[in-house]
Amino acid sequence: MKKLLLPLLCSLPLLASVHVAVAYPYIGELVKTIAHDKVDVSVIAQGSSDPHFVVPRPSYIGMLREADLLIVNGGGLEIGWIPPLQNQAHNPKIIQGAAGYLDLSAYVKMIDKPTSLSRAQGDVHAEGNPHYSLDPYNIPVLAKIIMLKLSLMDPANKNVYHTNYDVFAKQWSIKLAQWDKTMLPCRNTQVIQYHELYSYFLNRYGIHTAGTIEPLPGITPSSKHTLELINQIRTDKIPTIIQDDYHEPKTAQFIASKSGARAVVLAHDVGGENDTLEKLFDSLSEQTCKQ
Amino acid sequence: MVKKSVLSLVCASALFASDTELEQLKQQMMQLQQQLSEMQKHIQTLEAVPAVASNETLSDEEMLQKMATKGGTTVTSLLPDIALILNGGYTSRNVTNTQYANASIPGFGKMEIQNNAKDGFNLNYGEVAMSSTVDPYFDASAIFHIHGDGTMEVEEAYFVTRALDYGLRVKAGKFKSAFGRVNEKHHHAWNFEDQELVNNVFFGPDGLGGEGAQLQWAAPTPMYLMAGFELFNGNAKQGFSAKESASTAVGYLKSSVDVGNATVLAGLSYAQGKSEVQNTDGLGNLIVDSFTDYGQTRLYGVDVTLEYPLEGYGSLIWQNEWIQRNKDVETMTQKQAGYYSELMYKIDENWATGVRYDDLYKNMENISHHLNRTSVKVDYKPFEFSRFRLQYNQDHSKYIDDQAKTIHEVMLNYTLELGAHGAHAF
Repeated sequence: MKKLLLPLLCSLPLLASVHVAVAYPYIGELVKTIAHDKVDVSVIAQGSSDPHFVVPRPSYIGMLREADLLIVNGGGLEIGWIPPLQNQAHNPKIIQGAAGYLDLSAYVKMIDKPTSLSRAQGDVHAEGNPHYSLDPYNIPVLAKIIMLKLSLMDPANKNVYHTNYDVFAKQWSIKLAQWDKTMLPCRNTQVIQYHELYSYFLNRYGIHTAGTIEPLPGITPSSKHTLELINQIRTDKIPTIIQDDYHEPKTAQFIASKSGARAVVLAHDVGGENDTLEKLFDSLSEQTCKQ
Repeated sequence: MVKKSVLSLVCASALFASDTELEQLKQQMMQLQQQLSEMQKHIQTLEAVPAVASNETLSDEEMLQKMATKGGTTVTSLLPDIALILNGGYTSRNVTNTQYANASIPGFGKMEIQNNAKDGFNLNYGEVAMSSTVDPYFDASAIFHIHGDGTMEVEEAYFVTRALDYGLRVKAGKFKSAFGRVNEKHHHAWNFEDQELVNNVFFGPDGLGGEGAQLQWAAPTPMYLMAGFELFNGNAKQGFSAKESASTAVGYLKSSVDVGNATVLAGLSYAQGKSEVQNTDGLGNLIVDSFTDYGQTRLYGVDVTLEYPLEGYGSLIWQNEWIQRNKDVETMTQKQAGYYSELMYKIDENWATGVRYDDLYKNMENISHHLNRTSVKVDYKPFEFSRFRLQYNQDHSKYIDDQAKTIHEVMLNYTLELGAHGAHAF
């Protein structure tokens, strides 16, 4: 019976396109780049909000209920908000372990994996720093994973996905060379970050993170730690403070005014003015390494 | 090379230079040497780091293999998530512990108190929660409540299906009903330290639920629409008869829409079950064990919540719920109703505040005033897993020694979450 059914099912033409739900806008951009109009994409989080603490809205359940594929950043970044949505969407296609659940972090190398795990160290991610998408060299890798996954799920459009990927990879490598050039003068400089959000980007271009404004991951700034940072910036002549676009900017501005360092606010995902991945990394490189 | 030429220059010039010129030259030499060593240092660091850090990536085959085997998950442990939640604090009231323990609410009788029972320090509970995926088809959870006095209860222990189609999910075991907005939530996830009055009088401190089964359906709509049906054993504490098996049925419908930035969440709930008709005393309190006949108890619930996100981590939440109970007593149907309205202002990651108004009305004909309670609270969260809450209640709902008595209470409580605890739904 099964033997009869299988070829019958396979011979059916694929009616609808693949419905894809993604956790963050950057993943949505990648899916659109690879698939164009062959799939439809719903993006859950907004590019301007804290990726760790997306407020799970019931309307997001509707996006997951009908999805064939859910793509997440992984590495524990969505642990506080994706599981409750999955629990209530009642969609067996996209639960953890199912074929329609794609955790991108499984395919990239994570840095800063903690050697010991205790919440005395704040909000540490056991799997390592999950913000790997901010390394522009990881972007074509992620694009490839998505291309391979879509080709598996929708073999009819395999060639389209491959062609789109090839075009994208070529364009991206030109951009990579540009960013390498922009970032070169900043090699071996030091920066202060709010949270270790830009570590992959900074590591890539040889910029050393000398400290963070939050005393420990997920802990709000304390006056003692802030004063220590001001002294550190003065003694080590650290030129730049990098502030993300969702934490309060006051502490960074205060440190900047007291220490003479330059405070820049950086985007961390696609959205607003940086409505494409290229624009996002253009702005990251231009603002971090302003000459 | 540079060093040598500088040295020879110094030596040569020294032959026919005056003392002051010599001093100047010496200083220049020092500067040159300093610059040189700085340049050498810079060259060393540049050599140490390659132009662009190398990118180790998986081959296409490795990627495909990973996709085929695990669907690309990074789950590394087969142990269930285990969490311990501790709650306790300090309470101060204007009535004695005995008076408080014997306080009653007209129409509902003596209250069962679970938390902050004593004036002074209270260790309310340690909650042990375990949850895990069982196999491809089931997830399971168990929550054990160990009270400060050493008694233990199985708060919940249930399994849910993972793999049903058509948006269906079955839950079975012992669990809290999804009736209304707050019933399903555990104490540590409540907005205030004590239970909403209307839920407390109709369902008791543990809420509606128990041993039973649930069927839930998520509608295939872009808008959130959830329908559920539940069946429980009757429970006297919840106003139903414990003598008949599986007699309490619950049905609900929940939906939500986003209006701009704001989220509106609304629900309709209904519960029905057999109850024992009992005689009542002059105050309307049921006389225990005065069973005369079986009757019906019906509950109707409406809840509306508005959530508005503010800049950063802040938000405004306005949550409202109304419940009416029609219960057969003696020769008539007793109709009782109540509601609460609470406004929460989450200021940032650390601070939140809120006010709540509870009201019971339509209650007893011989009690003219509304039975109500007003609460204010301030939450301080040093971190995601710890919370301190200061709450004040002005409670006009209780009677002590058959006399209406306004109870003032101040509570300072801590709630700590240790270990791996699954995230809460909205």
